Amino acid sequence: VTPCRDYDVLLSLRAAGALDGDEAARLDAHLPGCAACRAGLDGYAGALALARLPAVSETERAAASGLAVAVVAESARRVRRRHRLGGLLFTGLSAAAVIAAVVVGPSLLRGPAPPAEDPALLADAGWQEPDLDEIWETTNVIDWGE
Amino acid sequence: MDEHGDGIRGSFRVIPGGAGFQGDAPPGSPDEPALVAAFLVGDDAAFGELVRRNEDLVLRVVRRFARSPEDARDLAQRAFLRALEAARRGVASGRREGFPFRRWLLRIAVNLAKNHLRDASRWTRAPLEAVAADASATAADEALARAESARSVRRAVMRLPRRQREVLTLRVDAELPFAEIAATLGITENAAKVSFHHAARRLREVAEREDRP
Repeated sequence: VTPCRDYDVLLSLRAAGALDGDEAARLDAHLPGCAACRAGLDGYAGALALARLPAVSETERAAASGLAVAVVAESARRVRRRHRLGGLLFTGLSAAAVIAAVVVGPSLLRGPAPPAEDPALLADAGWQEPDLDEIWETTNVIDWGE
Repeated sequence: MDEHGDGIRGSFRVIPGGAGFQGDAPPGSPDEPALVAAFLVGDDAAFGELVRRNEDLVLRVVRRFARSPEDARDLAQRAFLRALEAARRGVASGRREGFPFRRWLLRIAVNLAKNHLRDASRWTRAPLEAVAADASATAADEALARAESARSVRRAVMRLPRRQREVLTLRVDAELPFAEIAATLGITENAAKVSFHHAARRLREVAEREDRP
């Protein structure tokens, strides 16, 4: 038997204990004259009752006891771990800074590097083949005579 | 539509604030935002109080999806620790006042339960064994038939679409008002009620099929 379409949502909400005000009054006025909706309400209530889990057992209560203490302890452990990792990170960065200072420091102490050479001047300063004819012409030959 | 079910056969009792009834704050004790703020400046006792106030509620949410009581406790613990991280991030991003710890906690618990469900073998054991034990103890045909129907309906809960399952769990297991269910899941109250109705209709069909000879 199918409940009336206009009341179907109200029936499930009533079965869940979530109906009040005008809608509750509307459903209450309708139910006495509608067997289908009464059956529908019973159907919803029955299905939701079956869906409910059994009451919490003693075993479950025992397992859950001390949850607050365990959660706080785990939280504190995580905080300590985070601080330890932070400390390790700080130590690592400090060590890297020291190494960098040892490697880079001496060059910094040497003062500024000489200015770079002009490539054009360097090219001109290279060795050139001598002009032998010019050298011969400008050379005075010594006449030793007899 | 408000939450009332008194006098209605088979209806649910809805406790203001949900099923965390054992953890209700005593009069004069700090409220939740104050406890979150206190914890974030190093007061471990404040977080312990937050856990105590909400542990029953979280256990009820995850219980259906756990394979054992220890599994449920583990899921609950993870939910609390993740909610704590969320609170830390919320404060770090400047949200110092009014962090909705309980809403975050429930959302995280629902998500953890959803992820836990991915392993289908996990949900066929714990809660259903309790039903089977009851049934064998009474050894009555009627009880056995009811236990079988309950088994089928609870399996159907696990096969519901995710949103319907979340709403149903928060209503049936956690006994939350629809307004809080909507706030937890980030949907409208009307959408939460519609999802619940679809879920209930599906379960009713399964139960009626089980009743047929």
